[in-house]
Amino acid sequence: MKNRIRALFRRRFNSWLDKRSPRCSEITLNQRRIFIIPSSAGLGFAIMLLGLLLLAINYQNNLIFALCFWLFSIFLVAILHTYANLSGLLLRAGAAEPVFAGELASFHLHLEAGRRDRHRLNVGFPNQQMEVCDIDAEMGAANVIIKYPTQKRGALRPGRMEVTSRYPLGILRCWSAPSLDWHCLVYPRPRCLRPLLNSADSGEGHIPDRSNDSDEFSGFNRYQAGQSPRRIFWKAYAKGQGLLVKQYEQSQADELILDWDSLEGLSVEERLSTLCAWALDCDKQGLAYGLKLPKLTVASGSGSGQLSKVLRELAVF
Amino acid sequence: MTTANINFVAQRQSVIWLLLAQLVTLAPQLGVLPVWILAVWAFVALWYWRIVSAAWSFPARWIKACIALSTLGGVYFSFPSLFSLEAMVTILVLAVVLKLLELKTARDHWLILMLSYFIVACGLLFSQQIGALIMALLQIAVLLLAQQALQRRRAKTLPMLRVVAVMALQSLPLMLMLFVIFPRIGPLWTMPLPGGQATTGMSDSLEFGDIAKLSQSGALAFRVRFNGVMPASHDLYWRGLVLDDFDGRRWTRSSWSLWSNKMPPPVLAEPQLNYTVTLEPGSHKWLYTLPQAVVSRDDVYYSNQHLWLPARPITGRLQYTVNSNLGQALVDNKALSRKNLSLGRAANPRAEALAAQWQTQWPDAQDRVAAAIRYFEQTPFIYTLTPPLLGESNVDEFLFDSRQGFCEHFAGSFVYLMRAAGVPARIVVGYQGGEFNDRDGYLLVNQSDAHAWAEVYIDGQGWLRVDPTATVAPNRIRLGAEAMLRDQEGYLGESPLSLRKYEWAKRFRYFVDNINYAWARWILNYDSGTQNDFLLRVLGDINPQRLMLVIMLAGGIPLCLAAFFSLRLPKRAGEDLAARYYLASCAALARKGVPRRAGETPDDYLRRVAAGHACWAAWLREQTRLFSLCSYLPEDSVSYQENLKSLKRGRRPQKYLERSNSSMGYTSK
Repeated sequence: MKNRIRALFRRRFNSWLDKRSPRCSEITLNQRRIFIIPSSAGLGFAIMLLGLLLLAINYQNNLIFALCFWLFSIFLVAILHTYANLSGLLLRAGAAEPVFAGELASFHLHLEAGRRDRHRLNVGFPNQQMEVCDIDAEMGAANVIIKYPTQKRGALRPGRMEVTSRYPLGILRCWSAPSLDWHCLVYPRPRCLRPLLNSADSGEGHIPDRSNDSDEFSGFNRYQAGQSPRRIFWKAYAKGQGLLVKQYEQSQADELILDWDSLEGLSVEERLSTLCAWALDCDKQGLAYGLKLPKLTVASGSGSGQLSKVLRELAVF
Repeated sequence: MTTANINFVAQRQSVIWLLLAQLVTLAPQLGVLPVWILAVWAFVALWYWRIVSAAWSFPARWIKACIALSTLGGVYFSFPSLFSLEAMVTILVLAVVLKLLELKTARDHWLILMLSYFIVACGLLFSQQIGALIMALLQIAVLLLAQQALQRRRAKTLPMLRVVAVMALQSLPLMLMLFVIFPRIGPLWTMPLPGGQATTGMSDSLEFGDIAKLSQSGALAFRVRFNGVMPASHDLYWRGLVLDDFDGRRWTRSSWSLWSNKMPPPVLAEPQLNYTVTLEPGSHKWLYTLPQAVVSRDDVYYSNQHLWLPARPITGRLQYTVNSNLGQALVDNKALSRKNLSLGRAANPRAEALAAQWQTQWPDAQDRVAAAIRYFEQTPFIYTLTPPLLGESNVDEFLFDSRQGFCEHFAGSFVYLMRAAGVPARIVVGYQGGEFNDRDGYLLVNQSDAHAWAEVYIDGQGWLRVDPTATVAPNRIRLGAEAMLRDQEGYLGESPLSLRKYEWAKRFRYFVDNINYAWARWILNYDSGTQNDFLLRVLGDINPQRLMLVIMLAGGIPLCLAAFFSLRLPKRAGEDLAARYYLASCAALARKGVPRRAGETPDDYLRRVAAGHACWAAWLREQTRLFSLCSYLPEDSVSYQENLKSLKRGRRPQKYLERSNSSMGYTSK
């Protein structure tokens, strides 16, 4: 019951927040987006102030009255200082490298101090590991990587992130929950449920590897970024001849297609996971491979470019 | 794990600050705390420091129990009672110190800091001098620094101190307003009072030699400010307590007067004397007035011996306003009771024989009193601070053998003679005279002005004051104790204020006392009465609307100013003004619905605006041109200034259009 009320409250609050600060790629924190509440230490401080007040009343001691009021006023003034630590801070969503489902996604966050020192900013996603960062006004900006756990493949849009600060006295917690426009591609979790069969061989399966005779060595080429490092002719590099890549001529019949239809009897996610594992395996061995999905085909190729193309299609399937 | 735990890193800096905060909290209180507590702190702090440097581990449970019990035992033996205020504060301090041995989470860290604030406040119960407040403020500042050290990456003292100073100044107006306006209500429940601090003062019993001892203290007893003319010095008999019970050696207050003592205050006749007395804290248990007096205060009452007593024990300074009529008789219908004639178990045959002789010789009581005064005048008595010690029959020995004494000898013997002669008599203790501080026009009554005199009851006239000391040493009354006793060995011998004989030292002392008096009058004694007067004077009338208005003005304006100054972003040094005005132009156009996209160059933006929103194109083209001109011109050139001026002037498109409409006939379409 309590949890349900809390969840309801949370939902209400979030929808109110969505109206107040919609998703965008860069955000400057201001009074519309910053909230301040006393922290648990602040409650302790308030209880201490109450104790001082009782002490002052019972002993009719004006100096303790003065001390109590002074600390209370500092409590109030601390609201401004805590607020100032977040106010004017600029947050910009950075890149996020694709990850496999189940891994932690890393989101780059760019923070600009905006001409003021920022102390002990806790940034992160709610209920996740918070990163602490300090920015000097001279430095001006900082980059932080914050983590978010992934469960499902697909395009991940993490929810609101949190920036909190308790500076200067720790008795107040100032927070903002900006919704930054982050995208992260989450590939399927690689799980090889079936051995990889060459679809062209139609059943007479073998797991191809690099030493396969069907690949005929055809010559050297200049290395281009994205090509598999496994094909680099290291001996030539050692002789100072630059990076050369061994070129293999693959016969048409040997072209490797990772085929959706070859995985009969598996569910959609299981098929995608298996295809993902296959693609990784092929890439590891430096093979050229293509992908065939019900509505889409990726032409054969190799290297990291091919891998990311294939994995992307698997992720957004 | 909570976030607090994650954030809590036992950083060295915050540990250093915590230990420093503890030291600063307890060191100034060593006057109250037992000194061994410093050793306990040093031991525990060292242990904790070793824990933080990962050399030692937290103590086992039984070690902690041993330490706690032994320190508690130490408190038990250091104080007469575990429930005295001093013992309780000591236990609190010990709790804060020993908590270090199980400081594991951020919450423990906080607990120590919060309790430290409380201990600092407790310190103000024991001393309320200006110095004590300054010390407390320093302690609080260190605590705030320690609190801040938790919230910083590098706890550098100066920047942290700057933040604390800024916050302290910003909160000052609000604090003052709360101090002035917050209602002062009476104590909610009784608390143990600070004891052990009692400085020398008048006690409620008297033996020969007591007042002579008190005279050697240079401490201040109370201050008096007269509204109007101050009476002559020989009229200033500050009546304190009546001692009517005599056991043969010691005069005390009779017990029956304790439980039948509340009386309606007397009605005074004109002319009246009006003055305000401020009793120093720690040494007084009752009020001093010039009889016959009426004190205007709720928490004091009038008792049957014409005394004014506090309803509750006096805790700090007490300030009260008195109306007195010095000529008014102290009438009393119980005066003839046996109590006031009792001689106790004393045996002073020679004095009793003398009194018996007077009794037969003078039938009228008034004549017997006059005879006794004559006796004191004619006998060669010596008024001295260091009288010889007297034996069993002390009155006889004093009157007939040694004939050296201080005021209590004269008063005591006089009362003894009167009682023996059948005249009701009693001793009154209090102060006589005082020293006038002409810097600010008030009277300082010191402990060295302590005095004892006698009261005799004459039918039809009431209790009359008789001061036998005045007949023996008239200068004591006329010029004051100081003038009389200055050259005697022992007078103010215990006090560093024996510098009194020098004029410059006296001026300086008066100056310092001025400050202390103002402090006591305006700060320490700011109670509901003063508050009412003050608010009435400032507001003219106390009602919720006016109070609300004052809270708004006095509390709100400073807070708004503080908000403005602390929230304003510091100005960027060498800011590019041209870029600022250009960006202002872009923002203005964004309000018209054509925002510049992120990363769009001025030229691209201009092209896009020209293509889609032709009406703004001419204006934006001009702004862009001026901006690029300014960007490449040297900042001190004339043309830069001119271009910048036009860039600034044209940053609102609406205005630009109006201007160009009127000057060039340009129409936007």
